[in-house]
Formats: sequence, C-alpha cells, structure tokens
Amino acid sequence: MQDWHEIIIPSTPAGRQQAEQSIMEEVNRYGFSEEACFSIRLAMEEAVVNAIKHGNRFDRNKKVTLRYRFNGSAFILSVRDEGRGFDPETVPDPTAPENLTLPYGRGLMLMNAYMDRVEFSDAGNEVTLVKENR
Amino acid sequence: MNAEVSQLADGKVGVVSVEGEIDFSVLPRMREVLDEAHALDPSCVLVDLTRVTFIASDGLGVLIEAHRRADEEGRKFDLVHPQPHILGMLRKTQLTKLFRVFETVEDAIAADC
Repeated sequence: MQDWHEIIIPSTPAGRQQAEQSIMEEVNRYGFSEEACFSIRLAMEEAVVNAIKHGNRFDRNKKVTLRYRFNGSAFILSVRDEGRGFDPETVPDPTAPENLTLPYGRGLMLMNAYMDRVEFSDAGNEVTLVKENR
Repeated sequence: MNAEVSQLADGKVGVVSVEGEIDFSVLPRMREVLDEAHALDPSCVLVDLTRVTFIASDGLGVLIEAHRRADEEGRKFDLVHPQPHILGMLRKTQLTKLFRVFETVEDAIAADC
C-alpha cells in the first residue's frame, strides 16, 4: 500500500491548478480509465474550489491540504480547509425543479455522482473521495 | 481555455466557440465572452462545446447565468455538441431540462434557435 502524499496550497486559483495537475499526472500513471480520470479530476476540482471559496473564503492566509494515495485498487483523496465546516445534509438538491436555474450548488452532487465514496469529517471541513480502479 | 465570438445567419445568431477546459480559473474570461455575444443583440446565442474537454460546476453556473440573461433579454440560448462526458454531466445535473442541446451549429440554426 502506498504512503500518503501531501500537498498544501494557498487559497488561490494558481496554487489549486498546479496541485491538481500534479495529482492527475499520478492518476494517469496508475492506469485509470479515461472516464475515471474525468471523474477524479471533476470531484477534486469541486472539493478544492469548495475549500477555497466556502471553507477558507479566499483568505490567502488559510491553506488547503490535499492528501492522497493509491491503495492498490483505488485512489483516495482528502481535501481539508481551515474553515468552520458545514453539514452536507443541509445542502439543497440542485436537481429539484426550484433549484435548476441556480448558478451554484452542484459541487457536492457532482462529487457524489462521480466518485464511489464521499465522506465528510465530523467537523465538515474535510472531505474524502474514493474512486475504484475497475 | 480559448474562446471567441462570431456571428451567423445575418447576425441573428451569436456563436461562442470554446476550446479547452472551463474550470475555476477561466470563469472571468467565460463571462466576458458570453457578455460579448449578448452585446451583439442576436436572437439566439449558441455555445459551441465541441472542443471543450472539461467543465466543472462553476462553469455550468456561468452558462446558467448567461441563459438567465438571454431569457430576460428575449433571446434563446442553446448548447452545441458537448463531448459525451460533458453531456453526461448535463444529464446528471438535469440541466438538459434547461438547455437545448444540438448536434451542430447548423442543426441549431435550422431549428430556429
């Protein structure tokens, strides 16, 4: 089993881009399908952008910590911010007719739709994403 | 990401052609180019997604904002030829109920977009 890798980024778009690119290069090396790579890229983007926007509220002094590893059959990524956390159960369903025209609120739904497992810490400021390599 | 606006059908249709990834870092440019298309005052804005390889939820949000503006200003706003994984996203989020999706720009124009 591979050890955890850790990347700590500032709450800025540039830091996010570099970290995501470097993780995706590793994902590609592990032979995930094109579809799985798209799913991982999408879920990672949603988690990191949520951490920067909603968790750290674009505060440049606050960091986002990405930890990831491959356990032989799956890619596991956790994204933690320095915010107060939130309760994912309170996020409205973006596919409900009354929410369909809202330009926000789809990140969590997409993470759930594209990953095999999505778990939040009790504090709600860390999400763990799991994608099996089938 | 690269994006440009062109006009077709004697100026009745504004086409926004996008290439590359629509992620968090390019949202200001996406808004700008969609505003350019609206400013031409066409009867329809088409966003050609043929060469878009990735879009995240914030990118979808920008398209929804542009759709809302089109509604308010009395014009249509449709999407053209998203790649299969992006069409899949539009279906999972049920945004195919909001956007009409055409195979080609010509199909959209023929359907009186």
